[in-house]
Amino acid sequence: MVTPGPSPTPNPDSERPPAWRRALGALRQATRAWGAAHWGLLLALWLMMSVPFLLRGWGAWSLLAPAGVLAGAAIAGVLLVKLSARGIAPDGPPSLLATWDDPQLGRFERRAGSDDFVGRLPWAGRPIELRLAPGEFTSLPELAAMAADLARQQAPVQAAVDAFLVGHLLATVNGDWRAEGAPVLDAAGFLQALTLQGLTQHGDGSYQMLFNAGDLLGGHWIDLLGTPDGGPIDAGIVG
Amino acid sequence: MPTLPWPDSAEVQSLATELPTFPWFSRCGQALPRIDGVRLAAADSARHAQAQLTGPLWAWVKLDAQNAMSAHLAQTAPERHRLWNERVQQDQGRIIGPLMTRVIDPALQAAGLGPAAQRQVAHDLSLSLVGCRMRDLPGAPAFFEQLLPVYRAGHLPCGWRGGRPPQGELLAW
Repeated sequence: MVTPGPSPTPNPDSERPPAWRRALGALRQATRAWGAAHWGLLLALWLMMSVPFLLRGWGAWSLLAPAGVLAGAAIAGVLLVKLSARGIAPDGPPSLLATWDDPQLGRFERRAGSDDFVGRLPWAGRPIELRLAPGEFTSLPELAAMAADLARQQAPVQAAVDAFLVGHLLATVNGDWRAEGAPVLDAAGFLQALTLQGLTQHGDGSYQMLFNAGDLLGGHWIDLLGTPDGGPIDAGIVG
Repeated sequence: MPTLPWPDSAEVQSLATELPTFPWFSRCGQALPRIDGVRLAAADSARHAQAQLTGPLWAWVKLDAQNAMSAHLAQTAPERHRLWNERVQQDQGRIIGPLMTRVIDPALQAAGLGPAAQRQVAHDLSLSLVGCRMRDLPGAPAFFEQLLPVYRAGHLPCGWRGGRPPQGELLAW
């Protein structure tokens, strides 16, 4: 399981030998089973690498030059392995996590190309997509707690959202957006045509709900912004 | 710089002189003062304030206020509305830019507030100056001018809570 923040266990790095000693140990381990053919191949490679330096007039130093090249390549390799390993390290900073598990809401996966994490939230008897948008000043556990609080009050929240959508958009749906021959919708018919696709929890406590409006708005969706203390603030047509 | 046909009022000139003397962010985290006509609530912490400052709710509240100003100006003084961009650019070059560099950026740094706060302050000041220039227009919205006394008191306006304006209250740190 990948968890954010500092590890509760002691840092194993503090008890490890220095990097140069570990590198030497790894080299010994890797060459333990080498035979004459391996060492011969290495010698041939070494001599071949010396040739360009010899041609440039380095003289006897040409025999030492490949050591510098090999050391450089080894350092670059170690750095590359270390950097790529950080992305999946259990105790890596949240910005490098690929997944994150919340004890209440379950597993979240990082949305490609962003710092947002996406999981599922049960809402009105079915799971919807829950996106946590941490930003710079809020952690994933704080966001998950906000979303869980919102889910606990989902009946009054949904009632306020429904009332707001009807007040804010029903006239528009029955006006400019009504297709020729389509019936005029009442509040219940309008709400029935909407499907809540996802909820985004923001660090300032606000949430966004994205509704699929079917054919009501020419294929466009509805994006609603709300707060737990003040209810819905705005709803716009998007997409 | 050419003079625009939407000149500075005495009020704007006085504000431009006063802005560098504000005790910028010196009382962040302390108790908020009572300010007439502004419903104020305190942010819980610097981190909470910055989360509010960078969240979509505060961005929406300010965008809505800016749209209201722009719509009012377009309806009541379209000749000034056409000059909005030039006016804002002149203010930024003449008043806000130098103020940010000399006074506000060091004060933000001293208060431990980052680039997000810097952008917000510059935006608020810019629209406060436009708001000041609209005071002669009856019914002009004054949202951004309400932020000035909060800045003048050494605090940072950072968010909104409790419903869609005019319901709710301004959060400050």
